[in-house]
Amino acid sequence: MSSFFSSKGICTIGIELTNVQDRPIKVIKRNKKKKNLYVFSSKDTIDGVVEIRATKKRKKLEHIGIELKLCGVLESSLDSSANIDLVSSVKKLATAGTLSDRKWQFSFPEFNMPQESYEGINTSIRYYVKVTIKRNYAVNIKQEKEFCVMNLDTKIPKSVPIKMEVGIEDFLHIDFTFPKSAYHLNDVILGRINYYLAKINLKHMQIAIIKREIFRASEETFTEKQTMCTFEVMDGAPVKGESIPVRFFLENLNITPTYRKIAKRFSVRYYLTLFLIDEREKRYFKQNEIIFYRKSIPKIDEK
Amino acid sequence: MSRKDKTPKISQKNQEQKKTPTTQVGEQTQLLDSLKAAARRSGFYLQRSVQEGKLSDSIKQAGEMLNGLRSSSLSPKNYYDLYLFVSDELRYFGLLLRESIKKEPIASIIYRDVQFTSRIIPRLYLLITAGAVVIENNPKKTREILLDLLEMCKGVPHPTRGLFLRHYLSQMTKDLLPDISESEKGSKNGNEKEIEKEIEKEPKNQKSNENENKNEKKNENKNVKIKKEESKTENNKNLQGNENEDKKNNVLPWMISINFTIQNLIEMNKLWIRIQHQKLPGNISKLERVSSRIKLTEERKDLCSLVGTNLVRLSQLDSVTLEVYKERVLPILLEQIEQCGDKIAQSYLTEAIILVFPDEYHIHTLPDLFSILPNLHQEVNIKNIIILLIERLINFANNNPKSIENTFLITQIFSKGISSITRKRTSLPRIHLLSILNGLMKLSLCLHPQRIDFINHMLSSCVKSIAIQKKLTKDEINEILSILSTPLDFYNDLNILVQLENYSMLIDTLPNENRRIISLKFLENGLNTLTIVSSPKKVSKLLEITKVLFLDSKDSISENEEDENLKSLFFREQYTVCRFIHLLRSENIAKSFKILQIIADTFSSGGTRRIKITIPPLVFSALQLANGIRQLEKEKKKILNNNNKENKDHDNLEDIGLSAKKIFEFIHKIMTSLTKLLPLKSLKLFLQCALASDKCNFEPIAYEFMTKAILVYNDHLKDPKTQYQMINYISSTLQTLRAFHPDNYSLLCNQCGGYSAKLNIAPHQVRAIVTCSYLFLSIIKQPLNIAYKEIKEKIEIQDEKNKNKKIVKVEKVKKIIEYKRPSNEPVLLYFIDVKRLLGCISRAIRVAGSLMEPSLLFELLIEILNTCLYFFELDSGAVNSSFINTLLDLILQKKSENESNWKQLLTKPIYNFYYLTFKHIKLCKKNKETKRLFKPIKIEKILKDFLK
Repeated sequence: MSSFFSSKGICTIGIELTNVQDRPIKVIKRNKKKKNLYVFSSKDTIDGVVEIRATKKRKKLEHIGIELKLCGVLESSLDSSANIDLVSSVKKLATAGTLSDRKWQFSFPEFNMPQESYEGINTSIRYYVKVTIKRNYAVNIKQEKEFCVMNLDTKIPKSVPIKMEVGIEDFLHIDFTFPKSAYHLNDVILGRINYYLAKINLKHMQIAIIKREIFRASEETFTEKQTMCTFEVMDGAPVKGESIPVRFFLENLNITPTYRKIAKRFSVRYYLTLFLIDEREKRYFKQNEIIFYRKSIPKIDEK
Repeated sequence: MSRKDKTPKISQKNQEQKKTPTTQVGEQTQLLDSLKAAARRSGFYLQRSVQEGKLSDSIKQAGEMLNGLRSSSLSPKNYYDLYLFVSDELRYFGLLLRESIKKEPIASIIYRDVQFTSRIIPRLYLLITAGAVVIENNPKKTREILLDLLEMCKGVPHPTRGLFLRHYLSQMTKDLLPDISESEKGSKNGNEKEIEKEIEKEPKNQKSNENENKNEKKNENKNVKIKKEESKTENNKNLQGNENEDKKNNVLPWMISINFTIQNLIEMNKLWIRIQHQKLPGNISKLERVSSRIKLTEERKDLCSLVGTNLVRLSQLDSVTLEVYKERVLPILLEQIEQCGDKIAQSYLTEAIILVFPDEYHIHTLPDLFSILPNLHQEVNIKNIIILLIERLINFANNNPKSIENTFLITQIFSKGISSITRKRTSLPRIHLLSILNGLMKLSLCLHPQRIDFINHMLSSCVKSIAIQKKLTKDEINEILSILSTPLDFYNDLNILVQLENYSMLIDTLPNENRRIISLKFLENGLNTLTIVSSPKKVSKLLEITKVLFLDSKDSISENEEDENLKSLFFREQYTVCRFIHLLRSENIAKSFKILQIIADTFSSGGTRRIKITIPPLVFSALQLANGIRQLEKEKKKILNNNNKENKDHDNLEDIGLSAKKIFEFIHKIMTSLTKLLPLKSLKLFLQCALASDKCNFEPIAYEFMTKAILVYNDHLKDPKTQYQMINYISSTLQTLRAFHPDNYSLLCNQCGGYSAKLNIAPHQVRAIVTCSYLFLSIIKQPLNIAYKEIKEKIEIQDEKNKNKKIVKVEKVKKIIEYKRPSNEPVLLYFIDVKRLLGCISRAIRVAGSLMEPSLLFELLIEILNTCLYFFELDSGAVNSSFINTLLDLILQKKSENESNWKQLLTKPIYNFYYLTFKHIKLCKKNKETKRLFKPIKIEKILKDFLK
């Protein structure tokens, strides 16, 4: 555990989560470093050990209290002041006094964590356990232990069939049908494209999954678009009356479930977009929101 | 290659088309090379990943490698090149998949993983590769995978790329298609009904099942990984599902293969057709547009075999029995062909079906095949298709004789089919119709040669088709010639051919020149096969068919033309006619005579040009017949003599009113027209006739012919050399005649002698007279048919009775034969007149003596000496020894007169002749038998002269 002992010169604070041997692991990459996080779900009990060791034994370290805090924070680079604690719980480990080597066991039983961890472009939701040694005259000494939250959607979102029509009068009439609009993260998008009229010389067709991060800072709303993948579904010009199958595996994509209005500020939405590209590289597109939900938690999630 | 790269390429393409084709080719090869190089590079990495066993890496590399196939700038040929290269490399990928499928029990994972590839072309190639491996590993999944692959391939509607993709599909699955084994074959028919029921249910369930299965499968896979407990139950479910599937598969695994292949074929055909209808860039000129269309068509034709592989695949399936073919395969194929409406596809597929499937199948599905032909695109070359079918059937029939039942039904189907085609397809060129009819005729000849009526019917169809007034083209003429030759070459029997009523009608449609060619061929066929035509009716039909050779027609080529080729052709024709008429004869004399009369009638209107050539052989033919009749008459007489009245075998000649005499009259009649035209030839022919009638013992007829010959000599021959030659002919002919009364004979001899004496040139005169001298001592050398025997008998009788009296009287020849040579075999004399004989010789010596040229004189004298020696040796008393001695003296005297320049005068041959004659006399003097006869001959002087 690389994060167990963290030295601030004066002392080391080690935080370790216990009873985690069966937990799935989420691998995240931050600042080009890989980090393995244990995956918890809401209402899981989070157990752990905190160990503080003074490194310079001769010098006494005064503090005004030691706190252990579990929290889930919504952070955004767009508005750094607006970090919002989604959930938090504080435990006092020690009252004011002199720091000495010590070990605490802690437990947050059946802790409620309705929002999942999220790592976006501008916005993220992070969960961690944080130990703070408060000091009167100096900077508090802090140490975090991050973990990941994934929640299975017990209630499958309402799904409606998607039918999109692309039409330019007398030139193009195509429709796309997908039997459902809600998919779990390892699902397969199945659908068909039907051609009724195609006078335009189409060259190929792609579908794309586009993610939108929507963050509402005090008065402004920021939307970040990100194309998660493109997937070619047709090569060549279609012929009237033909129907082309679409089968698209979501499994390998770095997608999350759809999040709506977290803390009334933040949403992550996904859109299924179809691009038609004609001979002159002109694009025609049509998009429709699709809803992702979590049906399972992978043993190791490396996406 | 990303999408962005493509934009410039389109503009490049436009430029390409403006450039010369060579640079286009250059750019194409460059492009191909670079794409190949890229593929080779990825192929290398792929191989490495494969060796390291990294599945996901190798999927990536393989996908990379396949990107080259996304190019739309390559010509179909070059694309094919790249395709071959890449699909070959893909084998490594297949190896890895095979390896990993052994380790990983869930085969579907590889089938899923390859689908993450985002580009559709690489994705589908990988999917097909994976699908094949999955089927190989678990045949139970065959149906499911095949259907899925078919469905997914719809994602590539691009004509060229789609075509190759589907070809790859068909290549990869070819060994995996479930088929019926030999042992199953027998039991299959029993199951047929059950299967049919299944099939009825099939289409409805199919789609829903499919989707369910897919979803189930995918869910299952993920669950297995995460929640083992759950997956167990899932697996159980799946097992049940599999069982259901298995049942389905066990019932008709072979139907899957057929349906799959047909479906793929249909899709490929659609793509293939679509190549033709690709939109061209809008900014090119009309001319370029046309040329690129043509180029597209060419390129498209190069790709036909890709479509055809599916047909080959179908034909290789054992499960495609005749029944299955007829019920399930062909109807779908034909429907597809009819519906697609594309001329290239229609002709290619129809021909491919004909080529690929066994002929036996075609025989049983002919009406089906024919049903679509009239409805095909107007520009489809129906002719080629039908001819191909016909050729196949002929081949089959030849290789498997007697295997076809009800042969006539087949040709009837053809006949009906063709007539419906001509009804519906008004644009069918006449030449094509003719070719088709020709083919059908060949088929009919092959299947049921005895049905001459059908051939005749075909000929009439040809005539009808030509009836439309339009000048025949060269090709059409050639086709008609071929049609006419077909039964000729097949039957090789003119007797059968003349039964074809419409044959001459068809010939009549041709221009003169071609009528002649085919007529000549007709006759040559008879000559080559030596076919005897013995019925007068047939002969007159034959002459009707080939009449262009005998008669002038309206369109015949003008005689004035001095074209050497035409002349030689004419002569070739007429000489063939001459040879040919000898084939027209019968065992039955009356028929033969009738035939001769028919021929003579035809010839008589052929004009002098032809008569000159054709009458002589006719005369000979008639002479032969006359001789035959004579033989019969004799035999008949013999039979009557032997009191044997059973003469059924022979024609009763008197009843028919025919005898050799009548034939000679016939000859006489046809000869008259010739006399003026060809005096020389007719003279010879008269002599020939005289000889023939003499052999028949028809004295008056022979006499008439001889008179005619002499008359021709007198009236028409003016050239001295010819005169000399002909009088020699006449006298030598006369000498062999034996039927004459001596008075008549003597009369003719006189005439001969007279004409000889009248010859203008002295040496001719001498020699002719010498020749005439033989007439007066005519010996019977050749046995005179029956007459000889009679003579011999009589001689023997005379010898016994009266040994010293050496005169034999032969009633037959009505002349006393003198016999004077006791030592030798008896010599039979036909005629002897010593006085006139000596007259001839003396006259010859006298005429010779008047010659101024000593060497010629000397030569003639020796000739005369030889003749005299011949008569002397016969010991007939006509020439005696003193005569010879006088002659020898005369020769010596003439020699000594020219002693001075003797050697210059005497040429070697003459000297030799002289020397040998002398040597002969010398030998005769020594010879035991002739010693006595030659004793009085004095040769001492000559001997002395030689010794000098």
